[in-house]
This record gives sequence, structure tokens and C-alpha cells, in this order.
Amino acid sequence: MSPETAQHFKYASGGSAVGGVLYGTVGAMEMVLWLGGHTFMGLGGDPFTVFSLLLIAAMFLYTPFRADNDGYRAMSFLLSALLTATIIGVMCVLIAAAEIVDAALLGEKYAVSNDLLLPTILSLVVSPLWLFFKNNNHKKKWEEMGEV
Amino acid sequence: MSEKKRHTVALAGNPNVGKTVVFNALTGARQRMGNWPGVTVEKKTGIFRYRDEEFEVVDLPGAYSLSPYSLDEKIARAYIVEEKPEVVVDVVNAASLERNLYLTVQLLETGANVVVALNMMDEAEKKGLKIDVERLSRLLHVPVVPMVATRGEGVEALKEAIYEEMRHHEVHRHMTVGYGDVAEECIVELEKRIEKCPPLRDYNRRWVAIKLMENDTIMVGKAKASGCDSLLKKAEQLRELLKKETGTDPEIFLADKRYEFIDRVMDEVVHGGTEAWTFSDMLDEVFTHKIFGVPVFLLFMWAAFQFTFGVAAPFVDAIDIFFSWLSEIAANSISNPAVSSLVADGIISGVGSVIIFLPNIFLLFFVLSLLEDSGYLARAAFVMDRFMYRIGLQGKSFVPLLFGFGCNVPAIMATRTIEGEKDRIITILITPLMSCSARLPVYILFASAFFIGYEGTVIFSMYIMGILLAVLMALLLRRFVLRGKPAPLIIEMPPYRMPSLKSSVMRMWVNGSLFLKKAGTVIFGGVVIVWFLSTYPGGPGSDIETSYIAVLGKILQPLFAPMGWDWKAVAALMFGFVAKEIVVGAYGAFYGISGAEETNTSLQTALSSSFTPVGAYAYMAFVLTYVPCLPTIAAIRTETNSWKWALFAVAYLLSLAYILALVITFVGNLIFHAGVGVEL
Amino acid sequence: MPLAVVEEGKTAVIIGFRGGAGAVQKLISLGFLPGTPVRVVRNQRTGPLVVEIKGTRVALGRGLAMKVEVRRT
Repeated sequence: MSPETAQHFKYASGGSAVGGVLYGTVGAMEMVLWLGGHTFMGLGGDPFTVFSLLLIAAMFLYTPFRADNDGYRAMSFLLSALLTATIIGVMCVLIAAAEIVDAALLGEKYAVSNDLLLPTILSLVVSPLWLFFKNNNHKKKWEEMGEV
Repeated sequence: MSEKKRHTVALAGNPNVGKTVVFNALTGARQRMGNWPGVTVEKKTGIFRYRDEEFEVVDLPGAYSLSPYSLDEKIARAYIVEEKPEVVVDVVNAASLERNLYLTVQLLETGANVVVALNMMDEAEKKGLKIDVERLSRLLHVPVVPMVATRGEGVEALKEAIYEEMRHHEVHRHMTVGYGDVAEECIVELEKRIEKCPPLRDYNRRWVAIKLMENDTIMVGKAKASGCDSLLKKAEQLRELLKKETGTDPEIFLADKRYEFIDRVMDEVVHGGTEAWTFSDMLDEVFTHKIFGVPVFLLFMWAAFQFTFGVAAPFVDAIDIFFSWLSEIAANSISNPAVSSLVADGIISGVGSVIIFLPNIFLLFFVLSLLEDSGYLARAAFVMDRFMYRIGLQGKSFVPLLFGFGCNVPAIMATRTIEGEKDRIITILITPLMSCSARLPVYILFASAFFIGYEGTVIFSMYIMGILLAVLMALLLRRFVLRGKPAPLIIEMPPYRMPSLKSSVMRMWVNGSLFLKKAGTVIFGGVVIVWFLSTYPGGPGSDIETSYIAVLGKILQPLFAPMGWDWKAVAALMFGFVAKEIVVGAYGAFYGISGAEETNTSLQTALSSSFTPVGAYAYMAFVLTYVPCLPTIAAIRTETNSWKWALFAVAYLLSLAYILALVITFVGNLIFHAGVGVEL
Repeated sequence: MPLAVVEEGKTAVIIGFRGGAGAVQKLISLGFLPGTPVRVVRNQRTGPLVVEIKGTRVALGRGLAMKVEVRRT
């Protein structure tokens, strides 16, 4: 592995660690809430949120810590996690918007469904990682990794 | 004044090359959808004008070649050689040129006027490929138009090329593949004999000869039907000869030669290309991963549902409010009670019950379109194939079944992608067991009335029951009714693409409108009939106990006595035949509660004294299974092209439901020692 | 050996087919021809495989993959 590529692995692993810890912690917390039937700051834990958060965390964490094996595999998991997180985040925004409109229609007070917002906020936090990798410099380097 | 003739243009190409985008770019909104005669394959036609000429574009099904083996290919080929369109546009994926050219070469052989639309130049660029378009055009002797249809690039140039090709109506000296001396001699020999077989003279001679050398079933069939026996005998001889000379089956030999030609073309025309993993490859590493593949798939499917129902909710509520308001106005402003009832409760209510479906349906189609265009659907089929095979279905059956949980109608329409006919029919037949969202109100009503504290679990058990029944039926149907093995999975996995919003919205619109037209009329009619049966003979305002429907309920009730159901329960079921959404409201009406919803406590209380818990559970199971609603039956009929399967579905589901309810009643009573609810 | 037993990541060359006219034709039009190199992308012992042939990825059922004869390269 060339020193440049090694440098990139550092960033990729770092990014994955950030994402993994973030999603893993929140996901675990939600799971505890859900299984225990408790609430915490409006969060009640629902199965969909728990599942998505934990799965995304798993993707983040899976290979990057073995980053020395194969450059592409590590990037695969990082990118897949980012993509999935983004998709879920966008979806949550749209559902939240729909819920607000619906509540207004029915004349009900809209209670912010924190469990929906959570994946959204996390996605926003994690999306700078996208920009980091989409940035030209890095993109070219990552394509060069084929020569590893 | 010259007669404005409409010029026909056929659009051919492999699947996943952006043919639809090209079609839309050419024809814009001026499209019509229908079916190819006698089959359930979609046929799209559209019109565009260019330089004062009108062109009618026919979108042929995607095909990898013109062999006689699959329905799509047969349709495409038949259209090209029988209808003889003036121009055939071959849409080619520049990033998969090698494979796409196989069809191109076959199109050239038919003698058609081909224009190659070299699409997805952007994908090729991403792969680092450089294509010498001019060279390609010279080698194939046809115009080649580079395009990026999703960005609209190359569309005008394509129109120009089509126009020019149409005008230069000369018989082209086509470039076709040279098959080597021995084969060429055979071909020439056959060409001579074809002269003596008049019906075959309609086609390009060389092409016919080649088909005969391949032992092409369609061509051989035509020759036989025309009584050209000497031709057939000669072809047989020559095939044997070629086989001896080359040591391979003629069909494979000829295919091989085509690829040799294509390889030479590729060498001269395409340069570059990296071995590096693309973004698409990286995603596949995870999405088809042995461990991650299934969870990711489940997540996306679950997300699809969350999205569909979440975003549909405000629209559904808005529609509900609107129609209730409209109904009230009608009721208050029309003095004649009969007419008022007809308009308010019959017509407006009828139209309302159709429209209220729409947000869910449109969104389901939208999501389905996104999944397909992004390329993920192929991965989903791959991931699920292993499990589906065990129950006698294919991977492609999974997504339609899954969508059945939303609404059975789009789910059944989505089975079009399944290739094996039997596989498709089995999938369609078990779709109604996927508990659609319309049944939920009934579950909620009963769960809240009888199983307080366990509502979620009880409702969930309904869904699981549906799945188990579906698996059971799949196995039974496969064993006894539609024997054979599921069609082997073979599906191209295109590179992942950002789905075009415009394209998905358009597809959503087209499919949704189709649903509206077909199902809409059916539901509307059904609701009006139900209104009539529940209002008369007493007339509006009369006690519903005297209505026709109540009478029907009372007549049929004895059949359901073993389960302990009263006539109201039975009568309510009949409403479900039209659309499951209206069961709760109807049930309420029997108790004099108008506009009842599943959360209505007085209805819940009223019910709790009419059922035993066991009887209630049996009822829920019955509702899960008994019949598909009218639009679903209509959809089954349309997709299987016959009434036989639709009626079969109704029959088997009804029987299954009845048996199920009986079993639950007996077992339940045994377990809970509760007496039978109603005396026989 | 049949394509179905080639391991993930390995390449092979197609030699021929065994039986099944209809599906074989579809394979041919997708580029599965004697002499064509093929790379196995996914082979998880059960269920379908994903292979790369002529620049594109194709998923195919195990039964079908058993009918394709290849030589390891």
C-alpha cells in the first residue's frame, strides 16, 4: 500500500469510527428504551429506528478496523453506510413533514416524533463525511486504490 | 399538398439501457399505453414531429437478442420483421457495448434500417472508456448517435438521424457478420431455395437462411406451415454439414462468429477502461453480502413502507375530510330523500372510496419505480432468490408480495417482471394473503374490543398467519396445480444509478391512472350497489335491519353458526367483497352508529357482546383470508388474461377462510373451554 | 467443472453447456459463450451466483450455473 493510500485509510477508518460510534450508541440507547418500554426525553424507541440505526452502525464498523486488508472492501462498507444513512435521513424528513401537515389538517397539535428525527439528525452529522469523500482530491485517490 | 404519412419508428435495445428515457425524450407527453395483442406485455407508443414530418414511435420490449425463446424477444422480433417499421432505433449502453452489440448485429441481419443510439455516454466516461463513434459507425455501416438521454443530450441529433434514415429509403448494403467460408456457402445455398418458398420471400433472404441454419423454431415453423418441405430438408442437411465441419452446434457456432466480429469492432473502437472498483461495485459488496445483504434489503423494504404510509397520511385525511364535507352538503341541499341518499351516501361516498385509495397506490408505484430505476430491485431479487426457491417461487416474486402488504392491486400489477408463467400465476394467487392495509381497520376494531393490552400482538399474528398461509399455498399450488420448478434466476445487475425523479413520477402517474381507470369503476359500481342493498327496500332513513343486505346476512348466517357469528357479522363481510375499507363503517351502520371508525368505543362495546374472544379471532382470520376485494379480482383477471384464475382465487380463498375459521373456533374453544357462542 | 463450483474472486473460461435449450439461449445472448472469460463475484454455496461477463454483472441461479461448463484460469 502506498503511503498516500495509507493516509486515506486513516481518514476512512476515522470516518467509519465516528459514524459507527454515533449510530451504535444512539441505536443501543433506543433499543434499551424500546425493550424496556421506557421513554427518555420524548424518545420511546421504535423497532424501525432501532433496526436502521444498528444496521447502519454495523456497516460503519464492519471492515474499516481491518483496513489493512483490502482498500476497496473498507470503502465499500463506509460508503454503503453513508448512502443508507442518507436515504433513511431524507425519508425521515419527508415523513416528518407529512406528519406536520397531517396534524394541521386534523387540527391536532403536532408532537414531534423524536424517533423519526433521530436518524435525520444523525444523517446530517454524518453527511460531511460524504463531502469529504466526494471532494475531488480524495475521489481520485480512492479510484487509484485499484492499484493496491 | 403532400399526404402526411406517419412514419413508424421502432425502439429496440437491451433492458437497462435507458430505452424508456429515450422514448420519453422523443415523445414527451404524447404517449399511449396498451398491451401487445394477446399478452400482458406492455406496449407503449408515442408521437413526435420533426421537420414537418410525423413519426410514431413504438417501444419494443427490452431484449438481448432476437431468439425465439422468450416472450419479449418474440414480440420485438415479430414487430420488426412483420410490421417492418421504417426505422429501427437500437438503444445501446455505451458502457456495456460489447454485450449490447449482439442485438445490434442481429437487427442488422434482419435487413431493417437501423440507427444506433449510443446512450449512457456518461457511464462509459465514468468507467474511463473512450469510444470512437465515427469508427463504429463506419464499421457497422449505420448512423451512430452518442447520447446522454437523462440529460437530454443527443436527442435532437437522434431525431435528425431518424429523419435522414427515413428519407434515404434505399435498400442498404448492410454490413453483416461474415460466418466463414463453409457457413457462407450454406447460407447462399439456402437463399437460392428460399426463392421457391413464397411466404418466406417477405423477409430478408439472408436473414431467413441464417435462421434456418440456426434451426430457429419460429422460422422452421413458418416454412413447415407453408409446405416448403424441400427447403427444410436442405436446411437440415446443411446444418449437419456445418456441424461436421466445425465440430460445434450450428447455433453456437454462428453466435460465436458474431462475438468474434464484435470483439474485432471493440478492439478498434473502444479504448481505456479501468479495473478499479466503481462506486457500484462497492455498494454491491455490501448489498449482496452473505450476511449484510438480507438485513439491508429488509431495511429498505421497511423504509419503503414507512415512507409510503407516512407521506400518504395527510393526503388520505384531506380526501376524507373533503368527501365527508361534500357528502354533508349534498345531504343537506337535496330535498328528495331518495335522491339525497343516492347522491350523498351512494355516489359521493363511492367516488370518495376510490379516491381515498389513490395516495397510497401512487406512492407505492413511485417507490417501486425508484427501486427499479436505481438498479436495486435486481439485487433484491438476488438476495431473496435463495429463500424463495425453497417455497417454489423465484426471487423476483418477493417484492410484489411485499407490496401486497400495502395494497394487493399494485402488487399484482408488479408481477409483470416475473418471467416464468407459472411462477407469475402462483405469485398472483397468493398475493391476496398478504394482509393489505385496508384490512387493518377491522383488525384494530376487533383487537381493541376483545384483546385489550394485546392489540399489537394479536394484529401482528394476523400478518404472520397471512405469510404462513401464503407459504403453504405456494407449496400446495406448486405441487398440485401448477407443477414444475421455478424459472432459474438470470438477471442482469445494472450499475447503480441515481433514479430520475421525473421518470419515476411519470411512471407513478401512468400506473396509478391505470389503476384508477380499472379499479375505480369497479369500486364505484360496487359501492353504489352496496348502498342500494343497504338502503332498500325500506328507503333512506329506514332501519337497516330491513334492508336487502340484512336479509342476505340473515339467510347466510346459519353457515357461520359454528363460529358463533351473528347476521350482522356476516352481512358486514359482504361489504368487504367490494373493498375492505368499508367493512367497519358498514358494521357500525348495523348498530345504528353512522360514520363509525375502528376507534369508536360504542361500536367496540356493541361488538364485545356479540362475539366470544375465540369467535372474534376466527372472524379476524376470516377477514384476512376470505376474498380479495373487487379491484384485486379485476387485477388478477387483467394480469392473467383470463377469468379462470380470478374465479379460482375467489373459490380457494373462500374455502381456505372458512376452514381456517372453523379450525380456529374448535381449537380455540378446546383450549379455552368457552361454549359455542350462538346456539345452533 | 461447472461454473457453480468456482470460488468467489476466481476467473474461468466457458467451455460449453449441458442441456436446457431455452435458458441456454438466454445465457448466450448475455454473452456466455465458449471461450468467454468469466469472473465469479459472489458464490455463497447456496442460492444464486453473481458473475461478471463481458463487462456486466449477471446474477444466475445455481441450477443454471451447474449447467455451464468452465475451465479455471
